[in-house]
Amino acid sequence: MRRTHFHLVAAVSCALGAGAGTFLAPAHGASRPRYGGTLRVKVQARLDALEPRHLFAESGEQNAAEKLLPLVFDRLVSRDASGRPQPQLATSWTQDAAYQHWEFRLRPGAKFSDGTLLTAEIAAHALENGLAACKISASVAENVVIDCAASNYDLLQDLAEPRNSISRRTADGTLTGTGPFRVAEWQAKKRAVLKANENDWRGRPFLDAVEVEMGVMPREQVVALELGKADVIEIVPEDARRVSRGTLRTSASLPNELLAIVFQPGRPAAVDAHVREALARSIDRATIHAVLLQKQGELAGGLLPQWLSGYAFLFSPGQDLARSRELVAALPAASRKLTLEYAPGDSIAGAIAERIAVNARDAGLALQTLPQTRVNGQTPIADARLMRLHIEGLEPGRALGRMVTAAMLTDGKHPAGPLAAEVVYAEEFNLLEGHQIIPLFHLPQIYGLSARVKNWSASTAGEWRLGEIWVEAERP
Amino acid sequence: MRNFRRLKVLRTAPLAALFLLTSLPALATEDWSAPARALDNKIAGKLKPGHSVLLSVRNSSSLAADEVERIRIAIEAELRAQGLRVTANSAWPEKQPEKQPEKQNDAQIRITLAENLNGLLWVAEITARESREVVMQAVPHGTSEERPASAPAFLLRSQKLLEQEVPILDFALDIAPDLALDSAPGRAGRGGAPAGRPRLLVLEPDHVVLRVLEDGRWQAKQSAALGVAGTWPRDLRGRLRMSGTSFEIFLPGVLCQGTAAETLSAQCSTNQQPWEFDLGDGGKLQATLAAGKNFFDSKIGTAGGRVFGLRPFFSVAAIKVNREWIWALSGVDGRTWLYDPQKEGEAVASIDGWGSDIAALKTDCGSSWQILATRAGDGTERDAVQAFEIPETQPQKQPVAVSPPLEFSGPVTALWQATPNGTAGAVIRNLQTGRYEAHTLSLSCSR
Repeated sequence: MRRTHFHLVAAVSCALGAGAGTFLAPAHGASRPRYGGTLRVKVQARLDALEPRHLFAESGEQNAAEKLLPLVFDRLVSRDASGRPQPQLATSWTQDAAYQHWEFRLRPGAKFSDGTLLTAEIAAHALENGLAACKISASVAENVVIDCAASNYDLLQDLAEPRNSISRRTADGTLTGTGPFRVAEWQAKKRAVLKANENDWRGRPFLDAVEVEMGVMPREQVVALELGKADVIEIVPEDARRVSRGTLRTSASLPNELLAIVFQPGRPAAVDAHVREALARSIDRATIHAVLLQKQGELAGGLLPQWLSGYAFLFSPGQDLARSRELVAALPAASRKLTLEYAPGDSIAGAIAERIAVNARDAGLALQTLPQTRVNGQTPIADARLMRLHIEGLEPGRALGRMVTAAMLTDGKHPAGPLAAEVVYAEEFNLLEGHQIIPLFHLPQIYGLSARVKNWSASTAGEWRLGEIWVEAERP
Repeated sequence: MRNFRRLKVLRTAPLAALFLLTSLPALATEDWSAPARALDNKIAGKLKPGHSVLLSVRNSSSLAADEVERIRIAIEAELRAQGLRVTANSAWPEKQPEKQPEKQNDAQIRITLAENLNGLLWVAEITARESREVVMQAVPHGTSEERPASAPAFLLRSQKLLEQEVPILDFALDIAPDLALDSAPGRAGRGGAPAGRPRLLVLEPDHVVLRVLEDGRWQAKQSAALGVAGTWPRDLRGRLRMSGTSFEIFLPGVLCQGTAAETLSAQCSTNQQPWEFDLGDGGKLQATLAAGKNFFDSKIGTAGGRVFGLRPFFSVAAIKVNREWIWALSGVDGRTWLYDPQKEGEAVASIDGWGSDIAALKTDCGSSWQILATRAGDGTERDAVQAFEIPETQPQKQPVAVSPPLEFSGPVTALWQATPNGTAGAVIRNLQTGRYEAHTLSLSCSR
């Protein structure tokens, strides 16, 4: 009698709507991670290898590799959300007063995915030739010792780069790491299957596997997500609004890529500072942002984004057509012609280049756009180039230096160590004053996610944290 | 037995008093005078004493309006202290004059309270007759407290006891009694804490730490290493149970026993022994954490030796409905399953929409038994805990919310029923700071 109402096994979904302020119940609920499942990822880049020191021809491939490398390989040091060095395979480190002699204590018991114990000798061997002017060795106390010829204030930041991952080549030639996954299948430029590393020192990842399909065009990726055939896809800006208007989830990183015009040194039309300034002032970024970029990202007046520098608002990205026309009017007719090249596979860059040509024409400049046909290293045939510059690292001074090097504006030397905001600002101000580089937009990386993906979060630096991801199982 | 009951009552009363005492809201506000002075020193270095300046301040950071006003006042005061004659401009001049300030002022100063990855950045643009200069001051971040929404019935209250960088797996709040049952004032109680003083035992992945309340803060007094070798699972879980001067720690595949007497000590060993859940008046249950995982396997044992084959689950709570016990298990399938312990392995109902951590509360409110449940979501989202009852008249055992959701600044990483039953312990990972917070939760019957 007392349990007569217990007869009914009530697998009834709870509406939980009996009072104000109740939870909005999603289809399935659980906040603690669940084990199992395969994450299906699609990317446009085609990687021929997943090795820390591999050099990729295209920046898109490099970016994709930097996402995937940390899934398989760890570094001695990683970065936290603010860019500060954090222990990874090294649990602690010391350096001398001159920042020349460094010792890194290894995480005890860390193993490669094949079960091999990580030793200082293996780690030192993996880092060999990776750090300029530094000698790497293993100490008797199982520490990794790095001796640099000069003070190296940036060593921790260098060690946090994916190219300085700790890897070990097995007898059969396979490269193994201590990361959350191991490469179970690799079809160059087509497909990769990563399986959970049961020996991961952070604990086994929640996923059983990650399947990565490469070379998938953006529109195909969206269709795959819509049809439930993908869990994580890349989304180009022109698709972002359409996707987010539907039922699909999107996730955008902080704007960590700069789209900029970089003038090529030595090209006659780019030598005159007035030509460069006239072009810079003619560009209507707001319209391009609204129409072509579908309001993704931010207008860029400076090189570093606001979230990183804190002072980007000091550089105006506004159009000044009147001043541009004045400058053009003072130019000889022969100097009013320019060429601008862009990466041929980058459709959005091509469209933006065309729009810039229209703006330039309004100011009196004849700007011809052309897809880049030469390979890197060959003599440029265009006066300027539309480039995507990845913002590397989370320390403003270092990020600026890397960007400048990538744009080949200087010899690659930049001040070492963390710099005060005013110092970085002064350096950026000087770089922009000559208009050798014209910042256009800071763009985020946008991902489409299936509903079953949980715990998705890319790091501030843009790394994927698939070790923490879990997927919701189908309901019985 | 009678003595034990008496001890429990004696220990509960000071804890309740402690809870009330520590429930006072924090009233401290950020002191902006030091960064204001540092910025104004830089500004003054670009100008001459006695100069008249037109000052405009705008906020483009996450600072609240009242903080901005305090900063503006601090900056203005410091500029005056530097010998400048300041006129405040309530409007923000959108366009910086090209090296030509307002006629009646020697300079115009526009200050933007901006923000970057490392904290706040105050940027001053100074336009004097001959020049335009920029100075900056980096400022560390402040914090803000979240307030719960209005309540439909009862009010779930949270008191943050502690926050720290190191993950907190569990904690136990306690009053240090006099070891010698001697009421001499100031005599040292267990774990070095003076008798009668509140103390907090905190379980971390590698240590157990004893903290004592001093000057309103939980000061760490002793720490004992657990000395456990090997790899923990991701989403590490741990349970700390205190009983008199001894305590037990349950970790995946590890059992620790320790004492919090004059010194704090813990001895741990590899042990696949089931974790024991003290459900208060609902008895005790035993369950084993699945190897290397974050959930318990499907076998549950009772103190009486009975073993039930149920579903794998994350957490368990026991409440009384119609004077009969019901076990609630948050399953790995995303549902919370209700079982009648008198019916072996038979589920009487299931609930969708809850998160994976639940705990029971026995209170003076409503039907006296409530279940606290986290919200469905994942570790990247702010979480909430809400109190529910299962009405006696509800044959399908579907819960009714009896409190508004109590919002937290990050996911709830642990939610355990505390002893006594009237409170629960929750651990939050604050998404903004990345720090772990230990909270006690209690239900207030009046709104």
